[in-house]
Amino acid sequence: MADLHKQYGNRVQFLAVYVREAHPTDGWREPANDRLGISVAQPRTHEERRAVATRCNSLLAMDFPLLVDGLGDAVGHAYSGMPDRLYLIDSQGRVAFKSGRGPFGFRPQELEQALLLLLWEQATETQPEGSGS
Amino acid sequence: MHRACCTVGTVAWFWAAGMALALSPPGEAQPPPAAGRAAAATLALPSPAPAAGKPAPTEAAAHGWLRPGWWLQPVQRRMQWLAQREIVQLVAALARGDGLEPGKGWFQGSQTRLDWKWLAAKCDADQDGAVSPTELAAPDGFFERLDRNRDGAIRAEDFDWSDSSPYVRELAQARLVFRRADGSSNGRVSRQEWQELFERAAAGKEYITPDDLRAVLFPPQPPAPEEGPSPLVLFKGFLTGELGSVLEGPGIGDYAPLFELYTYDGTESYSLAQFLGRPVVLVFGSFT
Repeated sequence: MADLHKQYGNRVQFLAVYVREAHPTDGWREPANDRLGISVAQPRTHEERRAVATRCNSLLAMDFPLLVDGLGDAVGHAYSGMPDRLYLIDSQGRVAFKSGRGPFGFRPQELEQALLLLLWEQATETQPEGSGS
Repeated sequence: MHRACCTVGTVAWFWAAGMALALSPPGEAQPPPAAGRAAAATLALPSPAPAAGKPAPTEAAAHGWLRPGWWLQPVQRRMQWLAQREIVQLVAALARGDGLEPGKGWFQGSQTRLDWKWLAAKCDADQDGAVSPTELAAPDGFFERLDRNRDGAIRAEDFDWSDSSPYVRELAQARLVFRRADGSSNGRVSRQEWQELFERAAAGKEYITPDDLRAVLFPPQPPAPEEGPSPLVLFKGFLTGELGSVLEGPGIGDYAPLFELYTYDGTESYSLAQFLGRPVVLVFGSFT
């Protein structure tokens, strides 16, 4: 994602929304997280979630805004974003690409393809009519 | 308490529908409402058979609620709608013993407006099933990124993201090596991490052999593999949304729901509406 942002961040706004933990220690615990030292319980207050999001932000060195959803995951549910998902919204505010549900559907390469096509579509539509496409 | 009852009640309702879907015989496959969703099996219901030996209904009786079986079609439509809900498909998949895996239940592919058919309609002037660089007429670098299999033209295969596509298989292999190298799990392999992978594979030598590489890419599994999550943990994950939301989110072409949230440090707030006029990428996720 960082690469995508580096390449296209000047034309497209990237926003990350932090939702509920997918594998908290008090839920479906994932041993791989324990080995990597990133096991956390499901945050019970907004402050706890912000603290975990801060750790995530510094580890991944994200260079686009990381927004933290409320504990009720209002935005997460509105977009069905749990456990992770990618969306591409065009300039008119309509959904142009919606990835499959994570973790299987979370593929930045698919997003990049949709992004390139959207930018190309924008460019061809703003150009004056030439010899026809 | 009341809210918990409503949630459990809703989930129970969808669970029942999922079990019915899993147990019903496959009927005619109805076309799914959006690309990327699995064709839902119909919940088999008897079609209204014409009554034999009875006089033909009068003009008035043929319409409206006097028509025999008038209730069947609306019920069938409701059942089809229910069978196509993602949560019902997930429950049906679990009931069939499919497990949580790609392509099963609600773990379906992506949906996009910008697919091959759309591109071919816009660009493929000679309709040969391939879009050449001149037909695309895009800025530098775009064509090369879109031609994923690097065969000099953009074709339908370049839009194939299924697990059987060569690109996805290559990516899976690359990811395996990447995961072994990415010691810090930050999504980047530094020069030092790559060097450390070499050191682990070489085990003191100055070179690595194919078997060294195999050993480091496929380390021996622990003798007692851990059990997967219990049904209770899964059910709890279902209820809390950790497994995924019961809701399905906006579809292709729908307006994206507006929201406003603060950043992780609480210093700034961002609203989706402020970016109207430029494309926006939304990335949903968490640490674990």
